[in-house]
Amino acid sequence: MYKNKWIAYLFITPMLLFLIVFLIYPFSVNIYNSFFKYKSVLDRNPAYVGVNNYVQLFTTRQFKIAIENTLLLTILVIVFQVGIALILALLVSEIKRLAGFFKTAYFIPIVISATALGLMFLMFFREKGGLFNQILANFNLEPIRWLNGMDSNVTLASMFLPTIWQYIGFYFVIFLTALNTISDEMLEAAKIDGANDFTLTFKIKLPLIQNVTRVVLVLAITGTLKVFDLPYILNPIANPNGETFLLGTYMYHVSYFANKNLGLASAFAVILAILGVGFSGLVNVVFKQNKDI
Amino acid sequence: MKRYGKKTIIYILLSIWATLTLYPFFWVIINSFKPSSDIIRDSLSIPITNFTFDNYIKAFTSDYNIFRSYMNSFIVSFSVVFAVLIIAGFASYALARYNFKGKKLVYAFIIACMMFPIFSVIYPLHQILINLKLNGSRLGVILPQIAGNVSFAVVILTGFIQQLPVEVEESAYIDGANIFQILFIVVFPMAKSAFASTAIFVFLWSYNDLFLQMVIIQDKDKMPICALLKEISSKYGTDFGLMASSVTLIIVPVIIVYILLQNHIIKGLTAGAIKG
Repeated sequence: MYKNKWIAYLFITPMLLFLIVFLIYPFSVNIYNSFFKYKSVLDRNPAYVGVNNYVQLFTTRQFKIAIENTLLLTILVIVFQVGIALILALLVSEIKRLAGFFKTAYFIPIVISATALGLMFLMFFREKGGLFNQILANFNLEPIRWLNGMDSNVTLASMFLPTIWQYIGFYFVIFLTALNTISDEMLEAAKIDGANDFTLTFKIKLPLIQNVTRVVLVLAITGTLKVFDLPYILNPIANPNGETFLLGTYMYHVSYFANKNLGLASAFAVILAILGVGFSGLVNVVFKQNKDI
Repeated sequence: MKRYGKKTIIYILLSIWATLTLYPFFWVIINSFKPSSDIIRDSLSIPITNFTFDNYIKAFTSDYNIFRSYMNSFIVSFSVVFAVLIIAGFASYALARYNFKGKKLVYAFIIACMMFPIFSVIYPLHQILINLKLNGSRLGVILPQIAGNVSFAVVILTGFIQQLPVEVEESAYIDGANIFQILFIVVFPMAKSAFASTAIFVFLWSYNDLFLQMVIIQDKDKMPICALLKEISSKYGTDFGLMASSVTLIIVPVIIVYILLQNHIIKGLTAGAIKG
C-alpha cells in the first residue's frame, strides 16, 4: 500500500511550499542582497560590492558590542539558567511530597508571553517607585537606575535577569524527567555500597543524564541567539548609547532604523543564520552523544 | 536525624525558588487593585483600604480594546495551529511510511529550517507580504507563523507515527479504505496525544510571539494581544495602575489554562524541544 510514491510527494508539497516561500526564498534574497550596496531602501540600482558589507559589519562598533553581549549572555545562561535548573532538578528528585507543586510553580513563567513579563519587569525596574528601588529604600539604600543609567553593566544585568529567570523552569523539567528515569534499584545498590550524596550525584546521576544535558545546552545556546522580546521591551534603543544591543535587537535595529543600506542588514541576517546552525553543530560535537546510555 | 535535616534544607531551598518564581505575578495582581500613586509609594502591601477597580475600568474603556485583541490573538493562533496540524500531519505520514527519492534530503532540509530564527529573514519576508498585499493583515502574521512552526511539528509527528503499528493501516487498506479514510479514521486518531502536544506548543508560540505581530500589523484594531500590550506600555508606561491591570488581564487567562492543562502543556513544550 505504500508503493504509490506520488501520494508521498503530494503530502509533503504544502509543507515544502510554506518553508520555501516564507523562509528559504527570503533567506536567498538576503544572501543575494548582502553583496550589494544600497544608497537608499528604494535604490533601484544597488552597486555590487562583493564581501564589503561583511567587512563593514565586522568593523562596526555596535555589531562587536552585540556579539560580545550575546556571548556574555550565553555564558551566563549556561552557568545560571542551566546550572540552577540542574540543582533544582537534583533537589526535587530527592523528595516526594510537594514535588508536583514545585514543578507546576517553576514552569509558570514559560507559558507567559515575554511581552507581559517584560512589562512586569519594567514596573520592577522603574527608577521612581519601582519594586526593586522600593525594596532598596526599605533598607535605606540609594535608588539604582536599573535601565536608564549610564552604566551599561547595570543595564545589561537588568536585561539579563528576567531573560535567565524565565527559562530556568523549562530546563528544570527536562532535567527532572531525565533524573526520574534513573532506576531506584541502581541508586539503592550504590548507597548500600557506601556511596555518599556527592558520589551519587557526580558519579552516577550526572553521567547517566549526559545526553539530556547535551540537548539542554544546544537549546540554551541557540536560544540566546534568538532572544528578542524581553530585551526589546525592557530597552528598545539599547541604552546607554547602543552599548546593550544583543544580536536579535541589533538585527531589528539595523533592518528598520539604522541605515539605508539594505545590503548591510542582509549580511547581518546571513551571519546570524550561520551562527545559529554553526553553534548547535559545535555543541553537538563538543558534547558527543554517548550511545552506551 | 541527619536525613531529617537534609530534607528540611531541600524544602527551604525549593521554597525560596518557588517564591522568586511566583511572587512577581502575585505582585502584579495585587497592585492592579491599587491606585497608581499608592503602587509607586508602597507596592509591597495588600490593598485593603485603597482597594479599587479603577485600573480595570480604565483598561476596558481606553482607546485600546483589549477584548478585540484577545479575539485577534485567538483568530491568528487557532488558524496557525489548525493549518500546522493539517499540513504537518500529511507530511509526517508521508515521511514516516513512504520511501521516496529525496526523503533524506527533505528531512535534513526540515531540520535546517527549524534551526533558523525567523527574524533573520524579516526584511525580505516583509517585502513578500507587501507584494502579496498581506501587510497589515492578520493573514500576514498567520502565514509566516505556519512556516515557522511546521518543521518542528513534522519532526514530532513523524517520530510518533513511525512508532505506530502498521498492521492496523494495512487491514483497513485490505478492507477497501482509501488513503484519506486511513489517515482521518485510523492514523490521526491513534496519534492524537502527539497532535495535542504539538497543538499546545504551536499555540503558545504563536500567542506569545511579539516580533511578527509588531512588524506586520500597524492598525491597533487588528493587533493580537502582545502587540497591543506593547502599544499600551509605550503610551501609558508611567501609569502603573493601568500597566498592572493590563498585564493581569493577559496573564491570568494563561495561568488558569495552564493550571487546568499543566500535564499536557509541560509534556508538549519539553517533548517538543527535546526532539529539536
